[in-house]
Amino acid sequence: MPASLVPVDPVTYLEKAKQESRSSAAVTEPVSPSTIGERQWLASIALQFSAREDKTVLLQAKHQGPLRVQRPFYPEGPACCHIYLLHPPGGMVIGDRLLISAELAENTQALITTPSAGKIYGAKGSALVQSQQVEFSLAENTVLEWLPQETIVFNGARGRLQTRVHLQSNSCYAGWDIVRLGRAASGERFVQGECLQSLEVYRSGRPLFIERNRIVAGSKLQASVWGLNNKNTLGTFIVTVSLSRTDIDELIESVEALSGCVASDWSMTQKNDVFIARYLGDDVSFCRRGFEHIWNSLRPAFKNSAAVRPRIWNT
Amino acid sequence: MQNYRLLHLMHLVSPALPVGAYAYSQGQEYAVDAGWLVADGALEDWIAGILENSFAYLDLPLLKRFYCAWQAGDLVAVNYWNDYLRASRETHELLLEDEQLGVALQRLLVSLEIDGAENKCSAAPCFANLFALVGLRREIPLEDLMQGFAWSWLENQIAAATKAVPLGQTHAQKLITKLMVLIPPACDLALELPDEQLGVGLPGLSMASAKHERQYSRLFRS
Repeated sequence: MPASLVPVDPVTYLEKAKQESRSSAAVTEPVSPSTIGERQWLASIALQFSAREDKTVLLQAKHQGPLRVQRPFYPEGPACCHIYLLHPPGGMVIGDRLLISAELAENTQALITTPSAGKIYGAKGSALVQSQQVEFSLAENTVLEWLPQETIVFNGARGRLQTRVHLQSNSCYAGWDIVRLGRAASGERFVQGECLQSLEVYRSGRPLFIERNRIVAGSKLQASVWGLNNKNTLGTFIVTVSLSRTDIDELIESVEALSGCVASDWSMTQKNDVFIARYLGDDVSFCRRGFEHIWNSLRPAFKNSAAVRPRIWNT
Repeated sequence: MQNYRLLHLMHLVSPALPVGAYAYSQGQEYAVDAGWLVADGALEDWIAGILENSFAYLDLPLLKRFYCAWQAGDLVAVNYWNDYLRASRETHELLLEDEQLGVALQRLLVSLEIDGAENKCSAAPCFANLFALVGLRREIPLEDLMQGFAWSWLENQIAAATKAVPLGQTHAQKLITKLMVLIPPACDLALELPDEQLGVGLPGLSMASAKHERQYSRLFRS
């Protein structure tokens, strides 16, 4: 394997990031969009899940800066640990860097979500980027569900969103990433800035699924039918499960039957043992609703249990 | 001593090469069916967009990596990039196309006794993988091979349009001369592209290809 593509060990990666941040005084100061200058602000959290008999416990949650988790919830029994990931500042300002990692030891199951949408604020012409790196490592016989709320990319933002997942031969991943360009409430359009987004999934060190979106405001990609077609919401939901053609036909029909569904905004495909659902449209809340519907429908197939909705989604 | 490099390149990029590329439209058929390519210039924009934003970021730089890996005799790297390219295919049908073209080319290269063609990757060999191998064995310089590779892709897209749109022959020839000027800059970009920027995500193309898998009536395979 070429040296530059050796999967980054999340622990080493975080250690390095921490050393970098220790040399920066910015870490000890409070942060707000109005006070931040041209400097790096790091926040990280490293979760470790481990099995205690039939229970998945959160063994460790090492954090730095404003990333936190609440105590784990067990709404569906001890086997699966539900985690709410909190980022009290609510969004990333110029120079922010969030590192989120989770390691699942053998025989563990976790569901990680967020209580509110992530935000990447406008960078006001700064040269610094705002980056979020998510790194998951799953041992054998594990299930990880990564179901965060959407990331809102404000006009002018310089976002970097990277998700990397390392699976073993029989670990299972179900994760979605939703990006909303511009603030929906104010009808803001994304006319400046960029958002570079990547999703890489490896199984036993071999690339399994790779997608890289380069969204640059004003680019041909933003306006063209082969790109975003001027839509503001983009979502990808992948699940390591093998569905038959009939299963997918039924799933498409059931999504199209949801009230308010625009059929042309949805597509689904089965690429070897990865199922992929994509949304490209102008309704971020419908994207989430559709993904949740798919998650509900598929959970018995990939996890052999019914979906239990995290209560935080109700608030 | 005679130099056969140009002739070998012409052989490889000929639409008569029996790999079956003509059977695929890569989402274009759905785009036509959905009425996306009706406006003046829309077809040109579709093909140009994919060439500049997808082919230049994935197929072309991967061709270079395969070429270098075969040159170094590094089968681990060949295998890694083969997995990487497969992982980057957006849909079932785009992966299947690459598999079927790759397997057909492998069969051909084995019968032409190209050294290394019989090597088994841990998954079906991608078309670019074996195209790089035969290019190297025929001593075709990398830059020329990349241009030829992009040319055959472009010609195939235009040929698909003559059936799917349908596009008249004269119009098709005008379009291909217009679009071919995009090939050298796409190759230049691909030659310089670092590993961490490899890969694609063209949401519209992914949607079109996935929807083509379920299109009711099709001329092209899925």
